[in-house]
Amino acid sequence: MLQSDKLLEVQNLRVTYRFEDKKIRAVDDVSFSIREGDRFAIVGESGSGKSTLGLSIVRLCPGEASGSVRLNGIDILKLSQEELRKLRGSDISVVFQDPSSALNPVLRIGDQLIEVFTTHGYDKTEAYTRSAKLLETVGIPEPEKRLMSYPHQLSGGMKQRVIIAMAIALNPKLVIADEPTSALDVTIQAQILKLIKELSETKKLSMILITHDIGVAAEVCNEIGIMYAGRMLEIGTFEDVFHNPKHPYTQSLMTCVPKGLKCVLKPLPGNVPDMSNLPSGCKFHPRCPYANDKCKTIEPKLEKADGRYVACHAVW
Amino acid sequence: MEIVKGEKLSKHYNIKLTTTKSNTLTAVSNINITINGNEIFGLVGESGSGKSTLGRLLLWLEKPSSGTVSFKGLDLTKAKKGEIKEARRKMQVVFQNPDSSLDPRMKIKKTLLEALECSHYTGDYTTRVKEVLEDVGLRPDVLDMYPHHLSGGMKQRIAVARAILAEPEFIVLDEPTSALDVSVQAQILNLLEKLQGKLNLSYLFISHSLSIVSYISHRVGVMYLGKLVELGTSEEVFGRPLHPYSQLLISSVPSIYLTKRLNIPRHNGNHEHVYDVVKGCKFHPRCPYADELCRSEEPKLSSNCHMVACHYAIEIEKKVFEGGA
Repeated sequence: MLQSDKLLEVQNLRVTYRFEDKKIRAVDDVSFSIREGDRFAIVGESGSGKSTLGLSIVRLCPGEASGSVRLNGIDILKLSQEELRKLRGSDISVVFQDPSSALNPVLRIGDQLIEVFTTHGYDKTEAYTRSAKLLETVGIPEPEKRLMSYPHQLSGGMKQRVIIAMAIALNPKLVIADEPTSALDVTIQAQILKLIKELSETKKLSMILITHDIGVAAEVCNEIGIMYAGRMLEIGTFEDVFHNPKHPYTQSLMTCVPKGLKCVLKPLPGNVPDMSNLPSGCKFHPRCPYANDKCKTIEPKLEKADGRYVACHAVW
Repeated sequence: MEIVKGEKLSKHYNIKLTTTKSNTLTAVSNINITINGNEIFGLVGESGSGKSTLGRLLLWLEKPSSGTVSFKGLDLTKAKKGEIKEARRKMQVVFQNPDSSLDPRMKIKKTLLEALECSHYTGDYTTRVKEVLEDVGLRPDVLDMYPHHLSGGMKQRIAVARAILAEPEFIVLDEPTSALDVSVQAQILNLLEKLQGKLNLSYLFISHSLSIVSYISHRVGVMYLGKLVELGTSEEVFGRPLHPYSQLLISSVPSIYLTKRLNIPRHNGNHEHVYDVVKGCKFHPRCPYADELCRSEEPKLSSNCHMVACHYAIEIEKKVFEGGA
């Protein structure tokens, strides 16, 4: 079962929310694995379950999870609360979307950063020097002065750098970044993406990047997983998935995004499905141009095809 | 033929810090802009660059601190109330988030009929509503629904329907697709493009997304801290950006095509706080080419058809596009 080069192995993960007597399966039967040093992007539209999937890996998600999530062979879903607390931060950490709500507005940056170290057993002076050094690593000038600042005194990009500093403080093996640049302007986004990529390369960090923007995924990640209605539809390398997509959904995602001058947009018909009332068979079939009777009744499984995994009855 | 024209437009806001202290925020400073008939004019810039304020000024939703706005030759600064009302019927707006721009307690029918009443439409209301619903690709049964019954894309279609009901000539689209998913966003973009051709509309298309603006616009303006720094056709601005800021913006867009990058030097930091008054060119603190001249004197928009406000536009163009020294 355990293979040495796999850092994280997610198998048959299902996450269910209860909502007004209804059960909503936000993530259904998702399996994937990440090797050391991989940067894996989970790409999907809103409501596709990408954040639920990402957060379930560290059990930060209120839904009920089944299946297994193994980090170096240890099943995270079976850990006790105490073990989980040790794991979060030191083995896996999370970067959230909006840096203004992820930082506590009434505490100084320094207090919040030092807390990361002191809760994991460092003494205060050591924590302080490490914090200052950390801010320098993420490209914040005058780190000692910044430790005394409050979050509102920093710009959005700076705040996101602080959050990233917290995430990498204890040299975790895996960082889960949930839409880390969606709240930022495009020029600042470019800086942050560059920082994330550099850190992951120099510190040999593995990453899961959750995003709706295929450009952001392409910029940072080498492995891509495409999600739709709680399922993984296609998993493969960046070149395979983006430049030679096999699943009809991935293909149409590529034609939905304007690629500069004089391109033709071919929008998908219809809407993202309602998670409490999903179609039968393949969840994409009502919007799929190639759907046949088989697609309407039998849900396709992820299968290896042409160097990547695709869940489609008619792989081109 | 020009539809809307703004001349030397400026807008300052007073931001009260304490009871005695206040600061002036210049959202739009000294902008000349003309939008022609049947044209989609794209406006790009980062948040806080003043693009929405410029849109509101052109709609006369906000009065400029100085400068004039004219609509089809009528100077709105000097026009009488009645004339402004008349002109208003010909201009409309679609906002970013349909959840907040549609009244949650009104049925779609009421929302749409209200727009017709307000514009004193003379024809038959029900036929007009049906006509427009067909134009935006919705079935008539949505009329008896409330906004919460509809998906995000459908709500935005209703917002577009409301804007075109009274047969306007000019529509400001303020980030019309930012709240939508990519697959739905493409539907709305195609719809807007189709309507523009069919109804001979002029759009001011405001967006922070460069790929969308480059896709839909005929001409494009790039804004930075209240200034128009570059203006030209979509091909000119996106194919051969001249201002260092436009170059930075365009090369910052994450893309799946990693090879097509401009060869530009590193830019510094963040954009300055809006009311930190920067002397000279507003972009100089971030610009890798800035020198004494840029720090002291503000460049004017050049008067070619591809306009740029930079002292060293010609030299930079050579450096970036021809690889010269």
